Amino acid sequence: MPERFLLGIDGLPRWMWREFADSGVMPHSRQLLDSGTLVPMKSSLPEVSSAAWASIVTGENSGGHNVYGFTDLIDGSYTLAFTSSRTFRSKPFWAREGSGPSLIMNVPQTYPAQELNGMLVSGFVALDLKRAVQPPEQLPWLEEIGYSVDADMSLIEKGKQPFVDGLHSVMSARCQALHHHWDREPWQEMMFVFTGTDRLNHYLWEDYEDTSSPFHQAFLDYYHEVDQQIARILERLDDSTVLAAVSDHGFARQQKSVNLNCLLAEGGLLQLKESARPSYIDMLPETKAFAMDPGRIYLHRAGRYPKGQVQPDDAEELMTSLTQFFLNAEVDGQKIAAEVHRGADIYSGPFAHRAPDLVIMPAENIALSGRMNLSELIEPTLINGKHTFEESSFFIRGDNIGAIPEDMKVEHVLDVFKPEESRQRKAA
Amino acid sequence: MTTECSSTPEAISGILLAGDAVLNLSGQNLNCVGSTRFVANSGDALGVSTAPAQVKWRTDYAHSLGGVTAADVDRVVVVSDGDGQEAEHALSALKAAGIAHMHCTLKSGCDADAFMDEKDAEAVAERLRQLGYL
Repeated sequence: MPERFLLGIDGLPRWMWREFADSGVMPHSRQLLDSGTLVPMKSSLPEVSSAAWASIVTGENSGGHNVYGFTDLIDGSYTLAFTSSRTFRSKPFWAREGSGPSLIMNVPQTYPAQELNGMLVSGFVALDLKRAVQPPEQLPWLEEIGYSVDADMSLIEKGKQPFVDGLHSVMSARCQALHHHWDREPWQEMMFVFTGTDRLNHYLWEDYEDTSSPFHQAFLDYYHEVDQQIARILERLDDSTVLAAVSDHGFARQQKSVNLNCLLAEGGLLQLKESARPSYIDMLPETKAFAMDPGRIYLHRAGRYPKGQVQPDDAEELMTSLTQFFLNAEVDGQKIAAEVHRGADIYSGPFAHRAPDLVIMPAENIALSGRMNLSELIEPTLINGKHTFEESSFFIRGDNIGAIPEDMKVEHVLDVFKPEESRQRKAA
Repeated sequence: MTTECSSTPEAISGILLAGDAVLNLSGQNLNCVGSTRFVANSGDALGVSTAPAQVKWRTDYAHSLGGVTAADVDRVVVVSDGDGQEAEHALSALKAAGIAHMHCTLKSGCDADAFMDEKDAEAVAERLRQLGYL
């Protein structure tokens, strides 16, 4: 029996989990939620899975673990890079001294798979199963069952039904793998994340909201299946296991995706040289600021970027004017930003110097992108559900758990789930 | 309370203001603009120079900060490699002398090794596009 089990349900809003538990869509969840404490939790800033899951598994904000989004620029350059398990500068709980043996499956931001005391199968963004499994000798079994490191998102182009069928298929294989490997060893700690929920929410949120949609039931049926799989997990646990269940962010309707770099360019703040495929390397020295996904704003500072000309003495005034710029910005008569945070106010830790200068929180129905394609301010997309900072889920039950902070955030999960280890880490 | 921040040697000028003087206790060269002022050894005392300087803190420097205060410095930015005793002593001395200051700890940057392999970039980009990130 594992001492601790951390269950992840990517993108499940607390209010939705409670609604589905009470309405019968997720009947096993009703029993589960009634056996412990469910509270709303705040995501990372910005509310992106890579940063949020990194905070959940390390107990740090992005200034501590160094994952600010799915994308980053290599220091001192304009080279666009993609964050990975190697980007972490704080160890996930399973990699710390004295940990394990641990079974860690489908946690986002764990690719390529790193060695550990136990077994790990990487989650999103993962490309190649061969590099997603530690130890490598566990690979053949996963290949035999057709384990997929990622759902095939291109299926949405064939229609919502094939897309949802694909999500079911991937979930089935992942759960099969979970129980198979669970049987192999007496794991001390386990973590398993459902990520199909996030994909479903992105592409079928409108069908959840529209009860007359032909895919409304398909949306509910997916969560019903998730609940069935949760029940299978619960059947294997008893009261001796500390069980936490978390999501990395909430979800809400998305009606528009607004390209922040396009907005900056229209405001004369971002200037690129001509390029067939514009990228950060095309930024001209006159650029004052640029955006990265989703809502991160970086001043084009001298010293930080090769062609940067924003001087330290000008930074404060520029940040103030950018804040107003975004708070005032409208698209089709609708505000695009709800709040603007200063990086210095929200990040702390040894890698806070790599933080964005500003983080824009999107207004209702708006999602923000950091694409360098400046031709479209409003980007066409099939995506109709977006992440929210508020209302991710945190559930816990068990003995020897920490107090739940009133303002629960993703970086507090380990404080509650593994309080003693968390205390020791902070004291070190 | 001392204001703390972190930076890399390459990006340090991003945290400096016009009236600052850098007290470089690290063993590293800092990428500063030409007009940056540095706290430097001046005999047995400390003074302010426009030439890049590194200082090995001595206890008696606590009593010889007059050269710094006389140089019309708004703030001393103490740059160190970590939270060693040297930085601690320097910060205490500045505080006792009533000199405005900040502590900057130098950190490593993130090079290509910290991210996905370059050969995977297109595939990763496509996955992120499908979820609206790119």
